[in-house]
Amino acid sequence: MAKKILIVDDEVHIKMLLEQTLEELEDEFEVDLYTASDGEEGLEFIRSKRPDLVFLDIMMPKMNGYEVCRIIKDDASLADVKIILLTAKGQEVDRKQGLELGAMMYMTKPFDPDEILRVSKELLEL
Amino acid sequence: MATLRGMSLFKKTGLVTFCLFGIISGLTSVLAAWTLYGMMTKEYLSKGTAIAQSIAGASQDVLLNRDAATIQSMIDQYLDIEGVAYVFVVDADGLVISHTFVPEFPALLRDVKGFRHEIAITSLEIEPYGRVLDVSAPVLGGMAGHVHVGMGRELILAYFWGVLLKMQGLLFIVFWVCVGILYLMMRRISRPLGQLTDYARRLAAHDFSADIDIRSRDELDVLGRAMKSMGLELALLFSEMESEVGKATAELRDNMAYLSAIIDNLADGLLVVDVNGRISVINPAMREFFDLGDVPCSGEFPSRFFPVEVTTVAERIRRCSGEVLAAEIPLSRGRTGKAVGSSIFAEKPARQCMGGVLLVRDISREKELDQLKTDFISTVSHELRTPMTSVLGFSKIIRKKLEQAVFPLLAGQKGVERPISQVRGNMDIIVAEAERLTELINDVLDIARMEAGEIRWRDERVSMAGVLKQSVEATLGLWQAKGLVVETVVEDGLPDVRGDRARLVQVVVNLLSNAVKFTDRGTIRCAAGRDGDYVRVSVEDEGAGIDMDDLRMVFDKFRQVGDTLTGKPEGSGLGLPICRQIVERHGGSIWAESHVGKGSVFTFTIPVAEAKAQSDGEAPVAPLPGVESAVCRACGEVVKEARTSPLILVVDDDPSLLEYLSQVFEEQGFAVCEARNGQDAVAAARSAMPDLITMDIMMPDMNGCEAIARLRAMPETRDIPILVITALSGTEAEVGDISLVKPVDEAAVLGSARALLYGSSCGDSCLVLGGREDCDLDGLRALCSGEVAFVAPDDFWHLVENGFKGTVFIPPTAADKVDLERLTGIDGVSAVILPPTACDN
Repeated sequence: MAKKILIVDDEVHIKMLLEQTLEELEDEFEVDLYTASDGEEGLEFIRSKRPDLVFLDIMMPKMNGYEVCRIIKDDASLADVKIILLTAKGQEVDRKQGLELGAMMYMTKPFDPDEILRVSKELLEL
Repeated sequence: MATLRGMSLFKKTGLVTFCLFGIISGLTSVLAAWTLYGMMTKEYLSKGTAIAQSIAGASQDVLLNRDAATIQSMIDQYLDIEGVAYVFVVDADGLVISHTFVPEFPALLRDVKGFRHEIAITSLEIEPYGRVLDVSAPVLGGMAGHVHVGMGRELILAYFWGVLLKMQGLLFIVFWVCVGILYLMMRRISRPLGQLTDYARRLAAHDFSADIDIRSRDELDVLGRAMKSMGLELALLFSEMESEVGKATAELRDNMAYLSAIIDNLADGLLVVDVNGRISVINPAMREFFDLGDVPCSGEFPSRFFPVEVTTVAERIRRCSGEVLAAEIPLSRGRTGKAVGSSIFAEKPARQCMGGVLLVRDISREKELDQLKTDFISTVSHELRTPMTSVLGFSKIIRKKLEQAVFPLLAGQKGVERPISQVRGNMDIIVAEAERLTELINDVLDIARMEAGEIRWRDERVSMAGVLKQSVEATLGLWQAKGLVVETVVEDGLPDVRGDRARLVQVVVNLLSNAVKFTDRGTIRCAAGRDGDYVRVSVEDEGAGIDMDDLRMVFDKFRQVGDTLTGKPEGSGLGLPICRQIVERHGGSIWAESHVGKGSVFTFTIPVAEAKAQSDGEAPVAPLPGVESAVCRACGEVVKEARTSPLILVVDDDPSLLEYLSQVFEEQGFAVCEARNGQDAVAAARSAMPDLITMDIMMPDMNGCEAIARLRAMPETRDIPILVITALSGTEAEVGDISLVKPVDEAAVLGSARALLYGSSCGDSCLVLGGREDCDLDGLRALCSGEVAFVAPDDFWHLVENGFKGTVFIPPTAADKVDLERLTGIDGVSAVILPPTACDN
């Protein structure tokens, strides 16, 4: 069964960048890429499609990354969804908060496309 | 009375005179009376003799005739002569012929015999005449008898006393006359003396209105005049002096008023404490800063009015250390102040400490501005990251896609070699510049956060040699690419320092990469040595060197060496300011020396760990600002994402074992944080989410078993592997995933830890005590990647003591049957007690 990766970011360019980066996985392995432009949309997708990996931005309209994280964490049926928080924020408080909310990883922008690929492969066990 | 007492000299003279006069007058009068007495006695005797001889001459015939009546009448007439007491005549036989005694002749006289041929004088006492001198004269050589005449001595005595009394009386009068005269003379001398004394006394009491008038035309007069002129002179001097003093006082008062006006109107708060630590001066601004109103403060201890930050500084400056102290202090109404304190030294008459002075400035506004600036910088930095992500990310993707998909297609076509190599080069430039820009943003954010105090600093023992090694390795790519050599010299026995290891590495890496940047060939020397209470690290290059003017500015923010307009700036220009921030935060200093064309030396110092503890022996070491002092390897800040290596939470109540385990793990590149009891361990595990926990069992507050139970009960910590390291064996130790029995050796700890972290190799070979059928082989395979052998209890000791190296697994059932101490004593063998789940009995 194909693994599903969801990219949630309101910045079109970032979304594109992640998509283009992860396209490699799409070609190489059985991986499907999906995108969402805000927290609500993302959450909806997560609930309905149960992706294996989510790249989640923190500062987003409608619902921010932390909230999405918290909701997923509280929902036991979504325990298998792995979340990587992606943000320009870099303070300790934010990192701690993110990890306490159950995110698997926390990556700050700007990120290296190769690093994204490596981490994704690792988490998806490809 | 005063005059009398004053004239005691005269009294004494008077007394002596009186005594001398008395003695002289007494002696004189006695001598005179005595002489008179002698002379009168002689006179009486000669009178009596004359009378007796005259009677004797005239009575010869009568006596012979025994005409008593004639004789009687003759002698009777002599009785009238003064001094004659009696007359009598006796015949040769001694019979009294006639006498003048009335009524009868005293018997006493019958025995008085006259001598025949001579006048005889006898002293007698006869009633009622008293003492009498009896003169007897012979009549006819005694043949006819004797005449006796008695001369009364009482009269002489009466004369004697009369003379004596008269003379005494006269002398007494003379004496008193003399005394009177003397007194008058004394008065004449003593009055001016008294006046002089009085005058002198009034002069002494600064009464220059006194006058003296002595008109005696003698020495006293001269003395009086001299004193008067002296008095006038004194009065003059005094009035001059008084006016001088008055002038000086007025000047002083003006000065004081001027100074106190300055102090009172200072915008900064001023507090002066004396050597005893009491407040001596406080100005209105200071009162306002702490809302003290008009409360009297002088003479009180500052602790009554001021927060501890102020009293700490006040206490230190009044001890006269000579240092200048600065501290940030809270003021009333949420304001922030900066206090600068120094000791006060008086230079005259001798250098002496007089306490300390503290100036406080309200820096709330500056703080606010600083905060605004910091917020602005960090917001800008954050906002810059998003576009940077796109730029850098897409550049890299483009480069990759070009290399993988586009260039191969074009290869071989005519005229495309040149554009391809240009595009390739341009893409590299875009990526490199984007990376540099990212670095700049990171640096800006870093320094902004440091200045804002947002960074949490670790406080651990750091080996500077390790820092140097790591830094040189980290910059390996840089200097090898330029063909440079980095030489590291570390002094033997270099003490550890306290601080944040990662940040110190950042400093050295920064200095090294700077050195590499400005050096084209040669050697970069990186040295660490001890310098008093500090460890000094220097990075020396043989590069271009820095101009003196530039040298002063290299540690300033955004300062690039060289002309920024023409020269191509490299780096953010924030590397050295960041270094300075870090070094100063550690209590050290950083500086640079350079010769243009010869190279530069960048040096920094960090306080030695022990020396700091020794020198401040009595007072606890003040933690670095923003550093948590209680636990060296605090768990709070080490968060999963930030880690490049797995985090191990070491839990033990024994500080030395805690340190040992931490060092063992740190040397292997693990991140370590520590907890000293179960409660802390649970809290630390929840906040830091470690990858592995090593747990002691016997601990205060909450023991290891309970802590493990709690960790297992919480979903987020449930899956953290736990390595139990305990002195206990048997059932109590079986709560973790693996148990090690103390004493543990490094290899066993690391092996077990790796096994739990990576689910692999805990040694080359594994030996399980007991049969294969008892154990869950899969569980063991997770712990041991190597060969797993099973051994029967009988052969066990033979095997382990004859060359077996690796880990021995002991099922919990067999744990108390095995001498664990003997087992752990064998080199290269570590013992692991399997949890009950591993072996299913």
